[in-house]
Amino acid sequence: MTGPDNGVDLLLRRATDNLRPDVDRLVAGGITRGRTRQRRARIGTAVAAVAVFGVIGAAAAVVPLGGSPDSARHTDIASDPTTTSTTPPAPVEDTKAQKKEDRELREVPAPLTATLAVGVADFAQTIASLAPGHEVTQPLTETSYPLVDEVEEQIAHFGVDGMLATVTIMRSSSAFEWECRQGAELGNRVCTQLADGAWQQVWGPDTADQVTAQGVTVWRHGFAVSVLSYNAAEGKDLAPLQPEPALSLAELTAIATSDVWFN
Amino acid sequence: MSGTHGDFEEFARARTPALYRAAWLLCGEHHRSEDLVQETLAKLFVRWHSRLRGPIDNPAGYAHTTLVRTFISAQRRKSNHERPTEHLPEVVSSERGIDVQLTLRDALAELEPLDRAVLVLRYLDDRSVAETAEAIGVSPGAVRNRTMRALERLRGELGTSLHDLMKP
Repeated sequence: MTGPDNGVDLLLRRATDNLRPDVDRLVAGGITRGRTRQRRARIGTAVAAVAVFGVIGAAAAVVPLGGSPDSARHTDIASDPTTTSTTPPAPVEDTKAQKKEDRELREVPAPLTATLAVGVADFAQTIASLAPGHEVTQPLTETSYPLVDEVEEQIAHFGVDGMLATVTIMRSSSAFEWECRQGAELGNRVCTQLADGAWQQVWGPDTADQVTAQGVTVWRHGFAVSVLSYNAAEGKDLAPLQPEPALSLAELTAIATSDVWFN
Repeated sequence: MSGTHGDFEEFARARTPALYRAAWLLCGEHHRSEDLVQETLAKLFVRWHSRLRGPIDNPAGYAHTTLVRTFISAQRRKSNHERPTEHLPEVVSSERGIDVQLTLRDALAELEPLDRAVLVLRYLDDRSVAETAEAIGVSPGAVRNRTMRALERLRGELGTSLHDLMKP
């Protein structure tokens, strides 16, 4: 720094040079908090993947995002005011036992009991076979639509009958039950445990920014499989092509619950 | 530069002392400074490991910008507007060091949080006016005005002790 203020930088440095923070503890605490944020964010990857690139509309109001302060899930996200919740929030009893149970569910990852079997290059064919009668494009490759194909994370967006659809498969980093229940306070979603022990959340249809979306997330084998379908070519701000999303809830359920995704 | 957990931990260890110094100037006390640093590292951790976004071009700059923005956001929440009441538990190497710290802390406490942020970015992190403006989301003119105002206020608070504080 130059000029009449040139002593300020020296003053600030002199006043702080001999501070001795506990680096080990601060870094450990930062990483712990970061992992918690990361875990919460992953729950809503289906939306996060889209929201990051600004193509999200209705899905932001219905997909569980785990309550992260950084996530796209906020109560001020537009949603259809006529939509009513089918899963009323559970009464909150602020007891230590409940908090302990919640913490255990949140912090213990679901066991990994399978590996992913389908590369994203084959997603379109797989969707077409699980929901016959629809025209499914190859994964979209525009920069607005991230394509991820990794060992524990897959994300792809498609056109289904000319309308947007998204499939995400993510490693689950908390107990299935905990992840399934996250975001229940937003309403318009049903979280249930399936006969085989998997957890399933059905959400929507919900409308925002002109576009209606719905989806199903199923937690099994250590992964969360999310399938979203829209009724327009983009996730928001585009005229719908039909009243309902291209894939029905029954079809979304068939896709999300299929064992074809796993070895 | 982003990627593995080991890389992140190494980076975090190297940057934490500098982040803490900036946090202390902003917050004026130990516990809130530690909380701000950990919150900053948490956000950086998520960004560092994000597969949906590209690598961070300048991790050190990104970390300090995140710290200042996190501080400003926290200040906007009413619960964070209380003034610090406890004294510093940091280990300092000399009584003179303590004098400088306490005097400067008290003077900084009289500034608006955003003015403190401007001073930290410009004089501790050595950012330009334009870089500071971008970091805190105001115009370059506002940064200049806030800098002038903050320095005047600081000189007024420190008075003749400013010269003494600058003695080696």
